[in-house]
Amino acid sequence: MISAAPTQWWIDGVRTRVYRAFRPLLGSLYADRPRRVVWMGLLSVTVSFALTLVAPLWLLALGPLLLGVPHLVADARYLVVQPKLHLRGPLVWLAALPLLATGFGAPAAISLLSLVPAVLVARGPLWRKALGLSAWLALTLVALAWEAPFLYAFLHLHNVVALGWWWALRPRTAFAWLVPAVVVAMTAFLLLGGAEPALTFFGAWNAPGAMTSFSDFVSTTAPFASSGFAVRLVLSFAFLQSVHYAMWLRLVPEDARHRPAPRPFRESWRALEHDFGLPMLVVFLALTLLIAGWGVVNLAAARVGYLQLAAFHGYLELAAAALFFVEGRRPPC
Amino acid sequence: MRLFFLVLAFASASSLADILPDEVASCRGKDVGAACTTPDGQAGTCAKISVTRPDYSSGIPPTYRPVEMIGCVATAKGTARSLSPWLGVGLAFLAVLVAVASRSRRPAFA
Repeated sequence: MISAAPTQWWIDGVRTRVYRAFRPLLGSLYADRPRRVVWMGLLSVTVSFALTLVAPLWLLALGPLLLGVPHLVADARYLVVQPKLHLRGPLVWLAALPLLATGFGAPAAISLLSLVPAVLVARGPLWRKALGLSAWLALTLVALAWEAPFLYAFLHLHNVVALGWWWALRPRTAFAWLVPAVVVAMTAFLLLGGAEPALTFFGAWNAPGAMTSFSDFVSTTAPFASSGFAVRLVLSFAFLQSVHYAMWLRLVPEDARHRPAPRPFRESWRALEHDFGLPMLVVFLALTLLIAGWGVVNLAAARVGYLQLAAFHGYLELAAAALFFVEGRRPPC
Repeated sequence: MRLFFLVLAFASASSLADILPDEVASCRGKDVGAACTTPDGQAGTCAKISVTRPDYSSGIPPTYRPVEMIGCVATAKGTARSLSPWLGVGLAFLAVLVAVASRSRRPAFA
């Protein structure tokens, strides 16, 4: 149970003062949750886009190291813990095994097995379960026949899944369509080559300090594409990955909260502690610091290490989506 | 549940699906002479190889230059990753799943 917080954190005091200072100007944007979430979404997407144009290699190198583990925690929190999926019996726990196997080098077809218990445990009509299992079978057949193309497609498309998850949380206003519309427009701009003059202008083709290069990212995320289009795919990946983090760390938490008003940081911390317990939070914090610290020593190795840690989460998002699809309802938060 | 996330975090950190299979990726962090697996599943050894890589530092189109890297060179056939062991694991998992699912639907007689 979350008890009342008698004292305020200093950062809450700062936020209150900032809010009061800007209330005449921005109060109406901030007070109403649907409106607040949309402008936060637009701001996040715009910042992601700007960083993609100005410093794409830094975005790709640092994003996963700084935001990767927190976004995995958000995944677990909003997909499993808050909907209380872990309390649904042994079948749900079986879904964890293929995710675990992903960490031991299992092929995609094995990782996709996590969808099966998720569909079976869902409380929904038989036809939806049949549809869920058919989707699993189709994905598995594709993964068996063309594993590398499947993995590349999954790598690029899973960033968009977060947008779908955020969208599914609450009924949306017509105004909210702006967020996915802007994401699609900006992605199209990147894929059509609109960013290249900006990269040249900002000198963003190189980032020696980031210990990586476009050659590295082309070889790891788009080796199948021609050199020009491969770079565009890398840029769209950088942008969509950043949007993915913004969804899980900013917009989903904002919408998943029962209380529509912004919550003090102290209360947010207590809610997090309630969901995971202090020992797990210490582990998450240690993991975040470990990967960030590793990045200071060897940025490239730390990024690869983080990607190894995070590979399971795309399948977790798919399995949870399959469960809520069969149940025909929004994820409860 | 907490235990699960803990185990998952550390198990995944130790090794993971090769999302991006290529002969250089399989020798990342290894020294020359270390055992490795080629992208097509053969056992190999990490050795210095020359790879022609695109250089995008001046934008598009890239220039191409040879780069010496540590990559996986095949030494024997068919000893590395193949789907069949995982296929067995997958089928066993599905069998357990069916058993657990049918058991959880059976009425309890207490």
